[in-house]
Amino acid sequence: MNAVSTVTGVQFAPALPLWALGALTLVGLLALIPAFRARTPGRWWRLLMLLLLAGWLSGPQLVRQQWRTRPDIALLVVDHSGSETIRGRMALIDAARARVTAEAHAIPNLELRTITVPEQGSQGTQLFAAIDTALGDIPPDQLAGFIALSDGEIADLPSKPPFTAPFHLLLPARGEETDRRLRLIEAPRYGVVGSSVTLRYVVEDLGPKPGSAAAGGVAEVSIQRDGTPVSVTAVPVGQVQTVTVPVQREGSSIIVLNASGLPGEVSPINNQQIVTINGVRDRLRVLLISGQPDPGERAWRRLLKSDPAVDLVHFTILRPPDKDDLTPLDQLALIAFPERELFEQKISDFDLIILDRFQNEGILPGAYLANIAEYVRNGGALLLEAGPEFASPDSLAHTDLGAVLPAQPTVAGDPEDAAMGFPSPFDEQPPDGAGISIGAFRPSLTDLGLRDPVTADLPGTDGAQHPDWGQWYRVIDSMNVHGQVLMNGGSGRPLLILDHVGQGRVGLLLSDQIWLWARDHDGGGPQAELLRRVAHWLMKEPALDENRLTASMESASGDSGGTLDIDQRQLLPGPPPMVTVTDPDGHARQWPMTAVGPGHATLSVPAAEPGLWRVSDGTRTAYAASDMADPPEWADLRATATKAGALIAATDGSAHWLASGGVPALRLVAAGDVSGGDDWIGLRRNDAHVTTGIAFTPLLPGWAALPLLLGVLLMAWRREGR
Amino acid sequence: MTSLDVPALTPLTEHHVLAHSFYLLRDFPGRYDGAPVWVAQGEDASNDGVSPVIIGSNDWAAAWDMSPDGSFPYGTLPGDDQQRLYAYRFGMNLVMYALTGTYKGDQVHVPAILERLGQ
Repeated sequence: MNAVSTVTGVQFAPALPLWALGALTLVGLLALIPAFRARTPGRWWRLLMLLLLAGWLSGPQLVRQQWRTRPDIALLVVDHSGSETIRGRMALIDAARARVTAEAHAIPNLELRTITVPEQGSQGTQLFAAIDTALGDIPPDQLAGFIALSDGEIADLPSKPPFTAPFHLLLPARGEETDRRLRLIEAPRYGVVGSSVTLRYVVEDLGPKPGSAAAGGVAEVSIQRDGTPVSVTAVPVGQVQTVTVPVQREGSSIIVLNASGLPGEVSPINNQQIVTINGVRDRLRVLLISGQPDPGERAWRRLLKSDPAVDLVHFTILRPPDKDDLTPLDQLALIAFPERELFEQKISDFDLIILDRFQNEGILPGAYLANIAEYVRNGGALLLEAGPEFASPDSLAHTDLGAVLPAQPTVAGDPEDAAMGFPSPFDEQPPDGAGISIGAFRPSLTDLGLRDPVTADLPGTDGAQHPDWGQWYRVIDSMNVHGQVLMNGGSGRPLLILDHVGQGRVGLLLSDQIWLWARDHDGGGPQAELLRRVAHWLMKEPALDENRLTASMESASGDSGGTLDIDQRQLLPGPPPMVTVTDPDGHARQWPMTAVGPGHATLSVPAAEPGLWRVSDGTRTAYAASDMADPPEWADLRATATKAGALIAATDGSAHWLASGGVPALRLVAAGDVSGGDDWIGLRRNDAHVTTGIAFTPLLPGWAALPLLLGVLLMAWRREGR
Repeated sequence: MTSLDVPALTPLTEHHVLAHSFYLLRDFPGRYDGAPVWVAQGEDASNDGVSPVIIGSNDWAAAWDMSPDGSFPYGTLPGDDQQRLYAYRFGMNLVMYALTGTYKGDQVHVPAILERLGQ
């Protein structure tokens, strides 16, 4: 910043207006004419005096300008986006930055400003947005050029350079690089359970192909679902592929697609794509069989009919076969029970079968009951609401269905009945009320019920084992209980039992009075919520699983990365088991869980790295995937000068490979000169300056002019006076 | 009546679930016959579409009444033989309606639902 002062000229500051000065001079000259005619001896002195006087009055000044040269400003743009973290790029960039900074410091009249482009989250490298901001502070006539330390993957590359100064790109690599990527074209996030979703993807090789793979490459794509390999396929590079994934269950499934690496490629990070598919149920198809008209039936109907997602097929045994009163059939609204269609042809299409106080008094052939048992073992859901009929010799417990029920009534079945398939009127019947406990009680939760998500935190529980729910008056006594008893009906009598049978699930409610809660009897209780949860547990809703490990990824904004939330449910009492969290790179670490309630523990661990995370507690394994923090940033990981090539050419800039050529030297060159060579880059010299002041020096100051005039006047007088 | 929370009403017809909840009924006689019977207009889905109130002046309870000796203390008017039988049938439908709701109304949809299953 040198201050320079220069005489730039002479100017006049007349003391009189020009016309007056001119007139005065003219009058003076006219007055001299007689003197010259007469050749008066002092005439030359007189003329001299007149000219001096005119010259003095015209105020001649010497102008002296002061100005300052202004420095040339170069902008050093340092790319710190995510893609610079691979392959030691950051080290090369930081070394080059130090070198360029030092060199710029040594060049007089060059100012180097440095801006850093951070990781932007989801927008790729926004290099030019940062440049734009910085340019706001740099006068265009001082701009010497740009030095960008970047891999050249710039998301906001302008089509036309917004400036004229040279743009030099210094790339942290040895030369143009190659990268294979797997790109998803279509990946639905939701799928209906039972149907399948279609993923479309393409494997692409970017950049110059290494010699060996020059001819149309083939990549091996392996597909994993929740950690289990599904398929390995060889796919041609560059062709869109389609893969169909069946949606088997509710909740999220994580699909990982992984393309084999390309020899010499920059990074395998973008060879992998992770898709989370959420399985949702379309409509629930529920078969409800009511054994007899009963207030409980209304409660069931209110629950199921008010849910628009439920397709209810309901049959009620309005009149058992033995109660025919000879009323002509055309006066009755009775219809035949389409038993063959229901229990043989379409049974597997139901998501849930509810038997409400159903008793098999010669209604269904034994084979159909066996079909229901088979349906359960094959993965079906059965809920049995037992009334007094369950304690009778004709109880369903004494049919083929009994084998899948989690408890038996205490009243035995008649072996002959079982053999013949229908009751005999001559059998000795147990007295009414045998096997049934009658008397007011409040349904309560068992220890297991407090831990199981089906009954834990039911409305009104507040974690208490004996919530203040309305009373019921009848429990069917049971024995040979297995499965999980979640609720008791006073004196330790099981009331609600859930059980796994084969691949299916069974629920048994040993009272038919839950409808009292729906009617707010004695204060009522959570009838709808309890039945809803039981039904959804039976249909395997993952959120209600009693032993469950789930992991979900919560992505955070910015650089802080995501959080892996782990939720663990277990029925077994005792401290929650430790979990092993394995990150996408395969590093495992053990974490203790934090208990938050009976049988319920949670944990949040930081999970910055994108990819598939695996959580295991010894028996169960859960997966969670974090999306790529910045998909555009990772989509193409090459270091390449081609993308910015047009911009570099348009601005007379240059590209240099730091890893092979080292850091080029800096030079200031005049505008229009060559602005770069093999080992140097040129920054434009602008010679900008600013004027800081102007000084005026009178050439004929008054103190000099007056004696001069008087002197000349004296000389004239002496010449003439001789 | 104004102090009761009675919904908008409509006359009971033979198309209403109550007319075929067990017996198929065209008339709804009690001791008297012919007076209109009123049920709720429209269906409340949260209550399975069941009318919360049934209003009529056919005096069904009188028709149902029976002395210990098996005779009927109230004669039916106009007095058709079948009137008491139909009064009992209406009572039966009433109970079935209370216990099964609109179950019989579903039945028309069942074949369609079964048809859709498995598709």
